[in-house]
Amino acid sequence: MTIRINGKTEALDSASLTVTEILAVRNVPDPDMVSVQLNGDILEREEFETRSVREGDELEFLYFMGGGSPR
Amino acid sequence: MDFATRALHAGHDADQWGGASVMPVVASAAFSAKGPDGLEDLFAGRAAGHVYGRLSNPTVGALERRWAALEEGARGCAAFATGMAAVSALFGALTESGDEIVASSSLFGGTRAYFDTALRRSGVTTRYVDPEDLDGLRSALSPRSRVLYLEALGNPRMDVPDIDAWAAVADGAGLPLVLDTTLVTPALFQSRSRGVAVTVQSGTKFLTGNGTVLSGAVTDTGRYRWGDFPGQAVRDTAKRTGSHPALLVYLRTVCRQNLGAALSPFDAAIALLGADTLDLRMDRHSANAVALAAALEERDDVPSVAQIGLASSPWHRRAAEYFGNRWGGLLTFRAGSRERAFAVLRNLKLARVQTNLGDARTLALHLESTIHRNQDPAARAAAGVTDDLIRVSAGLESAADLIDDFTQALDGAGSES
Repeated sequence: MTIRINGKTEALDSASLTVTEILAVRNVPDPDMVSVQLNGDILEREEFETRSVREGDELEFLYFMGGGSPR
Repeated sequence: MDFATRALHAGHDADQWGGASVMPVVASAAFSAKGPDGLEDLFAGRAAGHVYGRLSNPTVGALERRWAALEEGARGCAAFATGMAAVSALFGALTESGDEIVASSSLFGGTRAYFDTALRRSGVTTRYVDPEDLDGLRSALSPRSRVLYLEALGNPRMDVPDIDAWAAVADGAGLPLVLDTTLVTPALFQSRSRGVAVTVQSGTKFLTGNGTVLSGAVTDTGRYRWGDFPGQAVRDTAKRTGSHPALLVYLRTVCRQNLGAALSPFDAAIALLGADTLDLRMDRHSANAVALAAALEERDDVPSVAQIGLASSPWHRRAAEYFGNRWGGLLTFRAGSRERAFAVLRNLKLARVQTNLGDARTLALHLESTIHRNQDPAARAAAGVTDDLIRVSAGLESAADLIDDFTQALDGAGSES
């Protein structure tokens, strides 16, 4: 499938993956500190395992580790 | 992984640092990105990385991951320059003018001083309750309550509150229970499984040990849903980030970034070395504290001794349940009079008179004349501080040498008439 992650088009070798699986593929070290938006919806941590990402979806990962402010 | 293994290995990936067994000190104030676009991505949160040391640093980050791993199931940890910086940052995140907190009256003097001065002047009221008075706790709650605050082992009262009951009250009110675990550390007490939402610790004490560097920690145990928190700052953050990272995001990107109490990477590296031996040290601190307390309890010229490992402690059974038959390194005893307490402290040859605890070396302190000197009598009484009280932080020496030192100090101080 082809999706957009943080505004960039990415091709993944699967028709559907959970958010947790995508975080693992991208070697994100600390999922508990990542904020995730799927097609504009902010996901809660427990949804990472259950929400599936499919062709054409838009994902935003926000890290809040090295810069930026929530305001 | 078991606790002792996590305390040694978590947070540091040697392969990323040339195979270094120990996390290196990254002494860099700021960090370069891949041009202005890369820096914008970091500022926007679209990429993970470091920008400026007040916000994050690789060595401090390794320590935060290590400390978070000590608390099973924790979301993460934010490190600060001192324990009081951690406490004040947390209340900066969770309260604002007009809010209230409900706190145990058995508190470390520094925390009480902060609640009664700087926090009060910012418009936040603290309602103190006897930690055993659960009806009083429930009646102290109001619609403006934001936090319930408790110490796992009261300093210096040496009491063990009913943490389960406080957690149940907090749950019923939809509020987070914040627990200061400085005296017991996660080696003795796992907070999340007992209903605690957030822990604060002075990393300066047993967590790092050795009496080396100052540091502080706020750990989100992962139990509380911050989107439901009644305080505006963290709840609004949760709307932008989701509930799970909201507290730590606010602590790092507002409290630490704007107030500036960041931990030095040099201090973080020493704190990491301290964490390596935490489990071992807590065994020895606990054994020495109980051995010394038992020896003091045998003496006719010592009116009372408080250590939760003693069968005479009213909190012995509860401590055994919570702390797994380890008792922490702290004890207090009464010398009979203020003058005799001073004489005992002057006579000590091995133990050092210092206002600290958790050092590898044994420390002793007269509390009424130091940490608690500016408290009103009621607050002092609630904390269990009498004018003849000596607090001892048992170090890692041989127990026999410690007992000998206090024995000669008491013998040389004469008997109180």
